[in-house]
Amino acid sequence: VNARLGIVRILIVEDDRATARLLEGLVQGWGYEAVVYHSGREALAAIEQRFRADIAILDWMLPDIEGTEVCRLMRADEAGRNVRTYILMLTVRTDRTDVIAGLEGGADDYIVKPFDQGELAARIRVGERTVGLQRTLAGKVRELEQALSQVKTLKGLLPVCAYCKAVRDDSDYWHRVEEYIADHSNARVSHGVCPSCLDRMEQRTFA
Amino acid sequence: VTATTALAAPYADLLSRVGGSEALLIDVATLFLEDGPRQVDSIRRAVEAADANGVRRAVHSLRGSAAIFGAAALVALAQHLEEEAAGGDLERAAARLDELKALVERLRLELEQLVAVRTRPAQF
Repeated sequence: VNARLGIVRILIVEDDRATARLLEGLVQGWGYEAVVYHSGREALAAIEQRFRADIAILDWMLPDIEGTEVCRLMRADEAGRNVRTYILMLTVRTDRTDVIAGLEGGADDYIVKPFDQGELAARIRVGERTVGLQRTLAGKVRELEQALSQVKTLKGLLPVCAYCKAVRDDSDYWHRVEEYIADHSNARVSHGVCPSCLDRMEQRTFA
Repeated sequence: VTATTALAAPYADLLSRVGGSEALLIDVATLFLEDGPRQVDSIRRAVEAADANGVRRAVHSLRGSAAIFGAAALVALAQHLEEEAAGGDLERAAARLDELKALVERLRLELEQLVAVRTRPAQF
């Protein structure tokens, strides 16, 4: 689980440029890719344009849109997908009600400004682990869905040619039965001749 | 500026806050040189416009930068302002503006000197 996920992309939404640059510099120094937006609106516009991040660090008090609103819209955008962005809210020590509202509203964790960089790094790694687990699970779900769809194909009604035993697929193509079975299951076909066919062949040969 | 009157944290402390990268420290400090006075202006404008929410947000941003540099006096003042603005008390906030401006200017001068010293070409 601790393995790195390849390049992890971190979205930073923070209106104060000095704080934003500090966050960007720190996470880049730790080997992450950083994308910075200085307002909630810019970040939301990017998300509408299908921008995706593995982890987001959201300042909870932005001048234009509340952090809660950015968080809510990010979550709405993710609905139905198997992998979600891990959202870390950035708040100040006095905003306890913000922390509660943020976590209730879809944030995964929070960090208090001024943040300690060791703590920030550790919290980002927690996010990385969570995203890694989600990806592993999403991969397993995909494998299972594929396996299930193959099982369904073999369970359904197969249109078979009465003479040559070819099988018709969903797009009206005919396949030799051996190919069809190999494509739709883990079974492999080996060839032999059954006794009654052997009899018929011998009769034809020696007739 | 002598060590005893410095508003910002000592250099070694500042460096450790930015992960030991002097280049990053200079970047962040340079941004504050530009934005600090601008943030004070926007706080003043919001106070004049009696926009308590605007004051709160602008002070919040300033407080964030001040905290990076460990400027405890400025952070504390900003926190008072933020709380007063949140409570709708802009008269108290207005009375603190000059002090805020003076502290930001002190921090700005300290950081300006830091940037100048650290980016000075080596002498041979």
